[in-house]
Amino acid sequence: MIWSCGLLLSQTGCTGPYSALDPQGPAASEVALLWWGMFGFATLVLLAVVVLWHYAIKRRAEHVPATGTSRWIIWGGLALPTVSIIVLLIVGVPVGHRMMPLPDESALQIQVTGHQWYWQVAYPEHGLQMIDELHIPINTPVHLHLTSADVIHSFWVPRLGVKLDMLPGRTNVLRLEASAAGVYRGQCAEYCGLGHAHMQFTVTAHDEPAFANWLNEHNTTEQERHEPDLLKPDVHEPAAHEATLDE
Amino acid sequence: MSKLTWFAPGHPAQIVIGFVIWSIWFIAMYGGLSVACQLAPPEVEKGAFTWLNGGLIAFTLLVFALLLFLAWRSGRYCASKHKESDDAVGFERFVGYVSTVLYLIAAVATLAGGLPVLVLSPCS
Amino acid sequence: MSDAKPASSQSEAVSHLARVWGNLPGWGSLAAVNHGTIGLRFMVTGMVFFLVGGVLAMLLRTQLALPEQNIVSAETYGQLFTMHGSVMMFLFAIPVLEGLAIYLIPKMIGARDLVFPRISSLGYYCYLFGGIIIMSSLLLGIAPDSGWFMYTPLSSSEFSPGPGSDFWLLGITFVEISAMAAGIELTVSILCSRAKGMTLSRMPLFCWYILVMALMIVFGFPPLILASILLELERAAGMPFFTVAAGGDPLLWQHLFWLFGHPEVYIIFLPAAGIVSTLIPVFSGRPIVGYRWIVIAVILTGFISFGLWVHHMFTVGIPQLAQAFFSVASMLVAIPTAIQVFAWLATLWRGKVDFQLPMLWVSGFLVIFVCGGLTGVMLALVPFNWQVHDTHFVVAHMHYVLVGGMFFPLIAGLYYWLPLASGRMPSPVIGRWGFWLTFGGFNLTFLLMHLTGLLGMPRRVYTYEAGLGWDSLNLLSSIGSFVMAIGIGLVLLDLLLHFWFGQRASANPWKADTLEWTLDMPPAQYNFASLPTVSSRHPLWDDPQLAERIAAGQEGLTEANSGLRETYGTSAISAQRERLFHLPGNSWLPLYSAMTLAVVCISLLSRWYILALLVVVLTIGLLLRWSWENGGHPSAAPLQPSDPGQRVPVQKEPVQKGSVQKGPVQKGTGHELPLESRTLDGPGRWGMIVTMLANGALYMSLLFGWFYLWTAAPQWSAPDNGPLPLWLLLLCGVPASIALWLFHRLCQRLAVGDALQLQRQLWLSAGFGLLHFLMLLVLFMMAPLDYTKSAHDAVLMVILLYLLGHAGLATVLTAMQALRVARGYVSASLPYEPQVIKPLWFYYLAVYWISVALFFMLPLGWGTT
Repeated sequence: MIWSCGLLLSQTGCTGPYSALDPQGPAASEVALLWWGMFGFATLVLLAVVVLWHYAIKRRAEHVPATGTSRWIIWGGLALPTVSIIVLLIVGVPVGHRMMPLPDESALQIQVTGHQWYWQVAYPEHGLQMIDELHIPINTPVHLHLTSADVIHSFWVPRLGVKLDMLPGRTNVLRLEASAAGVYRGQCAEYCGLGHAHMQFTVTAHDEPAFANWLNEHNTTEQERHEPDLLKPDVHEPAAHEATLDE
Repeated sequence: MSKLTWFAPGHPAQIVIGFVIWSIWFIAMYGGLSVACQLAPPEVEKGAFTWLNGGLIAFTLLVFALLLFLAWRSGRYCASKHKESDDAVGFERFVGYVSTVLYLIAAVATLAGGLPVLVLSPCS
Repeated sequence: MSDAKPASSQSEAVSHLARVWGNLPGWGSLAAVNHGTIGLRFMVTGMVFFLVGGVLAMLLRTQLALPEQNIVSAETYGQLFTMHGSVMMFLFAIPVLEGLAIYLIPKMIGARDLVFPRISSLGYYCYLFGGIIIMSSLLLGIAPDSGWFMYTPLSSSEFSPGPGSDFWLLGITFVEISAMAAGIELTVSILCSRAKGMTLSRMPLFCWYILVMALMIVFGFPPLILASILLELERAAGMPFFTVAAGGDPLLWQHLFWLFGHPEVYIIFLPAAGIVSTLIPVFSGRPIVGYRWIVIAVILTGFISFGLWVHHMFTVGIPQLAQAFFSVASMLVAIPTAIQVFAWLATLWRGKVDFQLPMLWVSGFLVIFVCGGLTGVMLALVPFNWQVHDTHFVVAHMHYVLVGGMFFPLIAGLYYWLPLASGRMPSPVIGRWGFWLTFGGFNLTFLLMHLTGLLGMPRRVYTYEAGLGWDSLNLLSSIGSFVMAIGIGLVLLDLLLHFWFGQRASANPWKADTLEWTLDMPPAQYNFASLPTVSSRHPLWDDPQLAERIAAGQEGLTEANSGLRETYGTSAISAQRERLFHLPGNSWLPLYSAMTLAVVCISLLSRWYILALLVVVLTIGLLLRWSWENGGHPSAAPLQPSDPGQRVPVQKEPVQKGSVQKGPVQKGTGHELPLESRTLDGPGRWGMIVTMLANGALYMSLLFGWFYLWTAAPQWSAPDNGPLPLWLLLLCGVPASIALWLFHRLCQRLAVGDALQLQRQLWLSAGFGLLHFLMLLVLFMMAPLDYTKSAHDAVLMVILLYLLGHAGLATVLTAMQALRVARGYVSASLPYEPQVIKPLWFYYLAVYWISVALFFMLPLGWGTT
């Protein structure tokens, strides 16, 4: 089984437009690293347990009456998981902390509203409106203010970072950052009805000058093109409840 | 078998009391945090050094100490029963042993669950 | 106890037992209440639903085998995955394990039946009818389609206007009755009907697992039942619990659902792990290593699993500190699992392993479950969870835990106990083929699915583009799933065929240590010809003659005197025989009650509310009739001239300790013990207490919802002053408190044999109860509750309705006691039933005053926000 998995890995690799194992942003990279670390450790534990199990069944023990608490339970049952948990938390908690959208003056603010079944994107600082596409500068943190106009959606660009749910009536803030220019694909991760499978979008990461150009180009044209159908009342209303992930 | 009240070490109720206390602690922490953040949220800039964190950790330590004391009490009881070997005592020793370990684990679980209070700001 | 009886009198006694305990012939078997019959029915029905759920899974995998397929539409796909999850969870996993427990527990603890046989039957019919109602939605093409956890607002009337969500909410709640019934019944049975000498420290581990599972059901299911009721009220009556604009919050649904949903995973896992802990020592030929540690681990799991529901919600934006509590708790649950795994390992290590077919499935379980547990620890780490949540990685993890943690041990258990139920052995050849195909197919399907998820495939998409790196993985997963299906098909075929072609099993074929293997194979309806005394953890290993003595009628309670079904009631702590439980025999009432409940369910689905109301009244009538046929009723155990209760006022303390051995007159029959209706304690009282625990969990969930909406709903609003005037609430509480006081006093008097003016006191208590009910009703009618516009008012309305319902119930039951006194079913000789109702009164008064305090206190808090 492990062999076939290895074969597949080498065949398909870990690349792909949605691959969390082919990261292009700091958050996704850290998670990918976490994964490989945990995967290695978990494989070792699994193999050790299976080998012990196999040997325990095969071997012919002399009948020793058991007395007291077995060392097996103390070491395997208590020490192993406790140590593993502590190590995991020491490594993992700071990673999670770095993903938090802490107050950051330099961050670009974008509002994204989920609808059945499209993504409404607004750049409040630049007066821009778009559908199903985001443009961001590279190496700059972006704070995405996520909310929903109808059911629960979830905003996810696997190669850049983690996902966060979009809930009606709340605004969650997700911090994303791309470390290389390119087009990244995102999709809805929370089942949201019939169009769920096709609720996708792209994030185009530009390097600094290209992003400035893009802003200039679109500042006038885009807005006119999309304004009529997009300025629904809920878009510019201050969110009623600034979310818990918010600073 | 002599009649024991539920609070006496050796009564089977002792087996679950450790984690009943843990559950109450858990609810009080989670509920208290939510209500406090609603009524009087401390400033975010203070990080983990707020009155709320202080209160939560004090409460955690209190519960931790209580559980340790109960563990010690039933551990002592269990050890005292070790010397006798009557059949009914086998049952009481079982209860003593199991409740001692569960009190200890509850104490550790309380402490482990309370530690994040030291580093995280409460309401964000 | 040791003097033998003549063979003829023993065979006579046995045939009398068989007559008393037999099911009715023909259609009459629908009135069966015996745990053996009901347990098997549960398991067979569960297997049928498993096949349906499996076919749905095959359809899902067929659709996903290749990219951009259109075998089923997005709409159908939504129904398929919703139904696959719901069927497997609610109609297969839980009921089958309940069935196994119902079948095995009395046999393991040395009893003749569970303590509430009619409840077993009611549970089964609710399960069957509820399952059929849910399935019918699939045939009609209007099945629920918002996913098995039914997140609002997708499942609310705005986004799911069709009846699909109603089928889920009403159908699952209906099925839930069976889980609650089993939870309460198993708890009470294990606590107070174990064999003499089977103290908690000598109980088979399987019973520990089932005890903890049953208690988890008692506390875990009420949040889901409440959530379903609230969502159905929102859909049907417009009460906006989950609507943001009216001060509700869709996240409340997620909290309540997972408050149930995570313990549920362990409710499924614990009995399965119990099977493993039973099988491993048997096939190792030695006692388990670390019995006490396994008990510790099981209790630990039971508690901690209630503290980690939020790990299903890490991506919804919960405050960091709250997330940290739940992250730590999620990881802590790895400890009890590790304790069990290493205790099993140590047992195998120190024993001489006889590697039979059940052990193959246990080994398969170990590999798969450890793998699933390890990915579970990964998922408890918040940042990793944020990345892979709602992807196929989670789908893979969940199937590793559930199939590995439940299905593999279940099959191991079925193979193990098959000889007991049928008297025949399964075929080793087909069994092995079935195992390897299932094991290989499973891993091919789901091991690869971890990678599919990491490559970014979200769950619940009905199709996907080609060239995203998911194509070959999905194809292999689909192939694997078909291999697995063939394997499972072989296993089921093997299980079926063995009834005709299996070799005759010898007595105790696996050389096991627990009491069920002393029975005939297949077992008689009454289980034990005489009820055993146990003096060690491994009665069959330490006392090889026990089976013979039981069969020869040399243990306790050999005769079915006066044609009653009876079993011993033993004290929970010391496992001494204290009284006899009279167990009701065949009854049509459970079937009728379940049928009327099904009509209620269907009329609610069709929105015929008048009909629903009428049938609810009918159902209540049936249930009251049911409770009427108890205790001293002529169809139950009426007072006899010889009844010891006629002569002696009943004492609370067990007086008959050891009298089974001493008494020269009634040797071994056990009839010198009083029936529970002649004493002050019995299974009914325990059942009431455990039911009130479940009820309390429901009430706590309701309060949690209220607090949650207050602190977290985005647009919560509440009037400055509560709409309920405090002085009226206080005034209302007075008659209720008087009713309780009267009831408590008459119980105390009855306990010392004083039945003076009993009937009048009961009527008085019921009268005050009625007064309280009417006052509360007036208050409710007058309260200006705008329950369709404000979540706050809707919550208040539900709390008031809850109080009204309980006040009414307590009053009706008290009035019924007065009537029973008039008929002579309750008296100084029959003082039991008021003791059963007393906990209800105490519970109600506690809940009433807590509610009043909160009605008063909470608005003080709102003032400051």
